[in-house]
Amino acid sequence: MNTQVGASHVSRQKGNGMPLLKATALMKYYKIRRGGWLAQKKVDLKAVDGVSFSINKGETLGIVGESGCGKSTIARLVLNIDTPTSGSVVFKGRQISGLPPGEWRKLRRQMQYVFQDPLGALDPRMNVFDQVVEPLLIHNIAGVSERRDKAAEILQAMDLKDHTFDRYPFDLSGGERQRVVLARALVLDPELLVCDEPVSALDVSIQAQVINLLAELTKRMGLTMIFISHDLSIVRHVCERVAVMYLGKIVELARGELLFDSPAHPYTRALLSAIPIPEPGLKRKRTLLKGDPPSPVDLPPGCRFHTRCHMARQVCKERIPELKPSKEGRWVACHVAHGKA
Amino acid sequence: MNADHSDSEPLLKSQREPLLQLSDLTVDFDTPTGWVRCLYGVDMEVYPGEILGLVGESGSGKSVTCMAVMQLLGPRALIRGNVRYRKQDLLGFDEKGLTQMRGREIAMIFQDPMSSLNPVHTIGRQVIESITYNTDTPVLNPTDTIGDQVEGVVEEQLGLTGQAAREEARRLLARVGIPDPKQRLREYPHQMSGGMSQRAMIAMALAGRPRLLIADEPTTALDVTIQAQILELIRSLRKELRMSIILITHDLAVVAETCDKMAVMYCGRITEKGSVKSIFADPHHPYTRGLLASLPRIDRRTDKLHPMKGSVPAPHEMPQGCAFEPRCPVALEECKLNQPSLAIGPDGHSIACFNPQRGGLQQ
Repeated sequence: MNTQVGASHVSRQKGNGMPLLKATALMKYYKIRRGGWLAQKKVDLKAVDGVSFSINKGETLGIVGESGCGKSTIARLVLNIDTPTSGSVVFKGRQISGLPPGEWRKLRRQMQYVFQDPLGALDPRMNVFDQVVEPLLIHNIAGVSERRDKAAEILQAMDLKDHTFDRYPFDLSGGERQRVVLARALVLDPELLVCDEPVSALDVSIQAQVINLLAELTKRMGLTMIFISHDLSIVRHVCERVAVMYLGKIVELARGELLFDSPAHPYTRALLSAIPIPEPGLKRKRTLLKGDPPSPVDLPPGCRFHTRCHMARQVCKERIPELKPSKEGRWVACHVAHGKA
Repeated sequence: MNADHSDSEPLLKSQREPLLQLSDLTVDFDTPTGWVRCLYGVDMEVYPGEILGLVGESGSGKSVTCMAVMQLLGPRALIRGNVRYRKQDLLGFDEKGLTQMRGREIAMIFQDPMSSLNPVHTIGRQVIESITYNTDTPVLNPTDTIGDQVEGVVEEQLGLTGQAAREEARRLLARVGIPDPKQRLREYPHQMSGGMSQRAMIAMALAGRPRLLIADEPTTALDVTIQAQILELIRSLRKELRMSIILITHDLAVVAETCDKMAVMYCGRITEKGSVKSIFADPHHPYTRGLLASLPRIDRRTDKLHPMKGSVPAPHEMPQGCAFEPRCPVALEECKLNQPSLAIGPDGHSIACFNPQRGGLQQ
C-alpha cells in the first residue's frame, strides 16, 4: 500500500504539470470589534495567514488541526464563499475570485462542498429525491426524465434504498442524511469535492460506512478531494497528503505515511501523541501539550507554537519559521526541524 | 479532601462491595404517541475507586442510565428497578434526600461546558455557590450576598466564611489545573476556553467531595490535545481522591486508555461488560466486535474499514428478539425470537448473546 500510494502520486505529478487547484499565499483576516462601547476598536482576527498548497487531479489532501486553526476558512476560500484578504486560488488554470457570475457558475459546478451537519445542509421541506434533482435544475443539466434517472442512479450508488427517496430529512438517520448530502454534491459530477468534517456528527459504525463509500467513489469517479477533519485517524485512512495547521498557518505538509509515522514538527508530534489508541495497556511516549492555543487576535511573535512548544529556543520567539521542503519530501515550518535537516 | 473517604473504603478486592449497583433498571418515557421504553432492565455496578466506561452509539441509553441514577429525567419518565448506592435505595429518596445526595455523594459533569455554566455569573460565583450548597459551610444565601466582581464586598458581607469559601474555590481551581486561579475566579465563562470551562465544571463537581463522579462525554466537545489533558486530570483525581468515576463516551479509544471496566450498551441494554483488558483482547459480542473493527487507527494504516451494516433501530420499531439481530453477521434463528439475557462467560465478562464469538480481532 505504502509504495503504491507513493508511486501513483509521483506519476500523476509527472504526467500532468498543472495542478487542479493551487492556492498561493492565502490570507483571510476578519475584522472584529474589541473593547467596550467607548473605547471600541477594530482588530484583525487572522483566521488564515499566508497558506499555499496545490492539489493534483485525483489526489486527496487532508487538512487537520484543532478548532480555530483556519481549516474551514480555507474551505470557504477555496470555494469562493469568502473572498480572501489577499492571495489567490487558481482552479484549472483560472483565478476564481473576480470571475463574472456566469463564468463562475460554470466553474462552481465542478467544485462541490459537503458540510459537517447534514440536517443543516438539507432542506427540511423537500423530499430526498427532489433535493438531489435540484442541483441539476439549478445548473440546467439534462431533460426531465434524464434528471430523474441521474438522481436515482447516484442515490443507489450511495446505498440508499428506493423507499427512502420520497422521505424527508427528519425521517432519515444521520448516516442516511449524510449520504443524501453526498449524492447531491456528486450528482453534478464535480472534479473537486471539499468535505468539511463529513463524518464528525456520525456514530462510529456509520462513520466507517460513509468513509468506505467516500473512498470507493473518489477512486471510481477520479475525484479530487480536500478532506478537512479534526479526527486524524480518519484522515490517515482517507488521505494521501496531509497538511497540519496551527493558528492560520500550515506547519507541516507531507505524504500521509511520512507524516504519521515520523512527524517532524513538534506540534504534529504532540497532536499525534494526544490521540487515544484503542488498545489497553499500550505503552506510548506522550508529549502532553500545556495550556490552550493563543487567541488568533493576539498572536505571539515568532513561531506561533512557541508558547506551547517544549523544544522552543530563543530564535522561535523572534522569527517566524518558513514552510520549507526537506530532503524526504516534506514541508515543515520549524526552526528546530530546519536546523536538523 | 482525602480524609473523608479513606477510612470507609478499604481497597481490598475480596471484601469490596459495589458503591453503586443498578439492577433491572427500566425507564419509560411518556410521549404524545404513547409510552416509549428507553432502558430495558440494565444491570451494572461500580466499585469504589474504579473508572467504568459506558460506551455505545447515540441513542443507546448511556446518558439515560446516568440521568436515572441522578433522577434528573423529569416527570415524564417512569423509572423502575433498583438503584442501590451504599446500601440505600436511591429511587425511594424524596426531593430533600435527593438534594443531599446530588453533588455531595454523586456529582455529574456534562458534555458541553459552555452551556452548563451560567453565562451571566462569574466562574468564582458559580464555584462558590457549588461549595456553599454542597458543604456544611454556614453561609447566608450565597446568591444574594456574593458580589461578583468586588472581592471586598464579599469579605464585608460574608466575613470569614465567605473568605473560606473563596479560598476553597481558589484551591479547587488550582487542583484542576487552571493557571492563575485568583484571576480566573473573577472572569466570566465566555472569557475562558472550552478546556478551561470543563476544568471549572470539574472543580464545581469536586466541591461537594463526591464519592462518585459521572462524566457524560466530558471531552467530546474539546480538541484532542485538550482531551488528553482532561483525561489525564480525571485519572489523577481518581488516584488522589479515590473517587469512582463513570465515564460515558462513544469513543472506544478513550475507554481503552482511561477505564478499568467497561459496559457496552446497545438500544437500551447492556450487551457486554467486563474489564477493559479482557474485552479488548477478546470481545465476545458481535456488536462489540463490529465497533472495534470499524475504528480507524492512528498508529497504523488500514486498507479498508469494516463497518457494520444498517443502523440503530428507532425506539418504536425495536425487533422482537435481540435488538442487534438485523445488523448481526452471525445471527441465529433464535435471535429473531428471543431476547438474550446478560450472563457471565468463562473469562469473567458478562455478555448478552446467543452466539458469542471467540478470539481477538486481527487488525
